[in-house]
Amino acid sequence: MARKTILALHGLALVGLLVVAVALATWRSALWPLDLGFSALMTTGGLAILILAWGLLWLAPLLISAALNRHWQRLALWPFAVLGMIALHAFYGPARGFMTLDRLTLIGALNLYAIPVALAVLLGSALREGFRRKSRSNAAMRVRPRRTGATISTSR
Amino acid sequence: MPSFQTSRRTLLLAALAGSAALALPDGLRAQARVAGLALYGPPAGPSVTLAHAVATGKFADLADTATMTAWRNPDELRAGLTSGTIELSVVPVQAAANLYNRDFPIRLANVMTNGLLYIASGDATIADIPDLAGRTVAVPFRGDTPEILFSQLLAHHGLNAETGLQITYAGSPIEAMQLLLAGRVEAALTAEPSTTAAVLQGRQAGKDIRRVINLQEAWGAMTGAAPVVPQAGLAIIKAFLDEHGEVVPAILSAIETATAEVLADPTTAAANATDALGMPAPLLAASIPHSNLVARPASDARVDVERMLTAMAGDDMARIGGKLPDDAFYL
Repeated sequence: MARKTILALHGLALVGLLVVAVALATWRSALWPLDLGFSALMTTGGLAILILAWGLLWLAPLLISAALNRHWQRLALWPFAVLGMIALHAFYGPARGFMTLDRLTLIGALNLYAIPVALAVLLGSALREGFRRKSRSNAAMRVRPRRTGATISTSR
Repeated sequence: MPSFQTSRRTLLLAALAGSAALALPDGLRAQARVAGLALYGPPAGPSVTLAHAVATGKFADLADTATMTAWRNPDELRAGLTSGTIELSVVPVQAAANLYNRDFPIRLANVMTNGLLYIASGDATIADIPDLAGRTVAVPFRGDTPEILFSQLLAHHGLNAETGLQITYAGSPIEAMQLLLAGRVEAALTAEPSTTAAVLQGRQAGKDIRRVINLQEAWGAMTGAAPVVPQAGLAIIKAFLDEHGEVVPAILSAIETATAEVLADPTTAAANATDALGMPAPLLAASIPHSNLVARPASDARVDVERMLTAMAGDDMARIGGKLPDDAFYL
């Protein structure tokens, strides 16, 4: 699949995740009557608080995702990373001003971390695809003239 | 069979009746009307009532047009009142009393909230004013009603605002809320709908922000009276009363009806008020149940108003303009 197509799919997934995040925020907090702008504001505010609270820890799922070679491996990373964040929340969350896991509940914790972790994994995956495809393309461009015997000199 | 033929006597009687009607004062000749009824208020609960009343045509029998505009801060209100731009507005009762005592021609027509102040926090161990000892607290509205009330409550519980706790003054309730959500303070004094915004935003981030202290209840416990802080009401300028005084009872009646509707259906009321207040409808809808909205005639609420003003003044009557307002303040 072409690099542009893969990156476009990543973009589509990103939009899908954001839509799901806004829908979840609206449903969880019963934000009625529906005001998409306010729901989006609440969603981004919530994401920002989570990102700032855990800081560089968000780099972990991002970098692991970028290091994995296969798509299915990155997809499989998502639930493990969510469970990892929930474990972190259980041990260190209350000290950072978050609800205890008892009060938040496991479902609440899944709701809280599923989308942000997915965003980190997706970003890592996009970085991987972007850089890998670019290097493959360059390699292909370098060898193509030799294979075809073309006179255009792109290699030394 | 009755005769409809016009006699000279009938014509004479009709002419006399017509002349008498023309001689009557405007208010009795027909239902009094105002060309343009311009209402103002803060971007908070009581203004939802006014905006809902306007949107549902509650003033249609009284005015050709009715509008509701939100002022953004007390300075904008004071400027509007003194310039005459604002003739009818929801105002903090303490501010109205202060202006009245300084001979500004303003009257209090009703009370529209029994208080919408809370201490919000994510710390479940904070449940009463004494629990704030040694904590960091964000306080907006420096020098205005909420801060004065809070200071009085602290003093009542033996807490020194400068040494007993760490107060961070915020420029607005929203800023206080942001400080709380960012974890930079342990509690925040906020007014509705900002408190609701903090609760909703906290929920999105897995933080359990709650209204840990209801300031109205703390106030009631302090004063030994009902948990009522008649914080804001509709104030009317004398120029409007002189010109359209006859429509005021009907305006207050319309507000009373609108208040009942707002409490019964916050979602619809919020949808009606969102444009006028420039605030999101879901936020307004969620804040209405915590805004203690009422429509009490000022004369009925006088005892509560005086109790609040007395306690707010403490040993410094200058805070309310030197004295309690006299009878003429209450419509």
